[in-house]
Amino acid sequence: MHFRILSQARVRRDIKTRETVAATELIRQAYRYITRNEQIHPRIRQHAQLMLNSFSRHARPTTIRNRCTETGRARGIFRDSRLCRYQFRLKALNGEIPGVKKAVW
Amino acid sequence: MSSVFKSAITNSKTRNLLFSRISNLRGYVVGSRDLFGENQLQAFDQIQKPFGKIDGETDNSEEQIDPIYLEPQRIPRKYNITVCHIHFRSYILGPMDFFVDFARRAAFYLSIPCSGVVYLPTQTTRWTVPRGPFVHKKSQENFERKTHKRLLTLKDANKNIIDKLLLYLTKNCPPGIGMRVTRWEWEELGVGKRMLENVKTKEESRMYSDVEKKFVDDGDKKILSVGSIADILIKGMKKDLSMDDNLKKSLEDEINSKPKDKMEITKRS
Repeated sequence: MHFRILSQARVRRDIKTRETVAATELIRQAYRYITRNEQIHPRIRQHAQLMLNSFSRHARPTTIRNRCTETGRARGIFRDSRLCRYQFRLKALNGEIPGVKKAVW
Repeated sequence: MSSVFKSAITNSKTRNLLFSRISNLRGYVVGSRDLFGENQLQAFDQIQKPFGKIDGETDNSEEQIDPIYLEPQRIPRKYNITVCHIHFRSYILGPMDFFVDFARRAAFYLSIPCSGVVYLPTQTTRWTVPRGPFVHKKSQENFERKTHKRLLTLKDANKNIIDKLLLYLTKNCPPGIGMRVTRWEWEELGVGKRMLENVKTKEESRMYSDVEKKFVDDGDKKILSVGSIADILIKGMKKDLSMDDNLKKSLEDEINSKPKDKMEITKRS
């Protein structure tokens, strides 16, 4: 990624989210396991729920948003090329995406 | 070409052979005219010679044709046991076809019975994209990517030799070509039973050793009932099967650290 994208706050926020999610995933899953396990004492389970809330909001994997690697746009992104649709078109026309050509049929 | 038809009448077996050979030769020569220049022209001249042989001339010029121009040779399969599938995938056709040919030749020289090229269905992915960056949905553009797939089946070979072939192929694989290998190994009858037995004996020995350890450590010398032993075994199994180590550790830590915080919660409520 080059500087232009990294200078966008939204992109940096997304990167941060991904990092925190990766870092806290294991502990979070353990808490989730405790909250849902009916064998464990309810007090412990409740406490685990509170602990789950205490994580920063970047720890939730649902906050991760795929962003265009060229422009940082959040909508209309192809997973395959990780680009937004317009960048995809430009690159495909340039022949920069392997195997992708203009289709004629 | 008249000599071709002559030979066709005289000998059907050799005719088939020749026909296949000619078609191959032509395919290669015509396709590679620009690449090879004079060499291919020489090869083209040599096509004529084998016919002469049929007409009665003694000529060993068939051996002189460079085998590169012929279809890769095959070793006949003996037991017809499939050992390995090699899938090739690429977005570009040329290099892949060349590499598949290369693989077939490599298999031949390692004396592995190898199938011909199996053409698997081409996978096309299409995207439709608006031309402009903003609005104007009415004018769009289509893009596509075709994934070509080929398959080779290797038979009867020893697994060490197949290892060697695969190593050789992966070393020499040009960029832009993907390979996927499926392999089968064959064992004597009753493998499943043997494996089960092995697992069982291992499990049992482990569990009993755990039990013994526990009671030796505790210094408990009471006469044990069957039920109590079973309970301990079940506990051990639960521990083993429930979670992986990291999770277990963090959980244990969590549960152990509970009591202090619990007090706080109760106070609050």
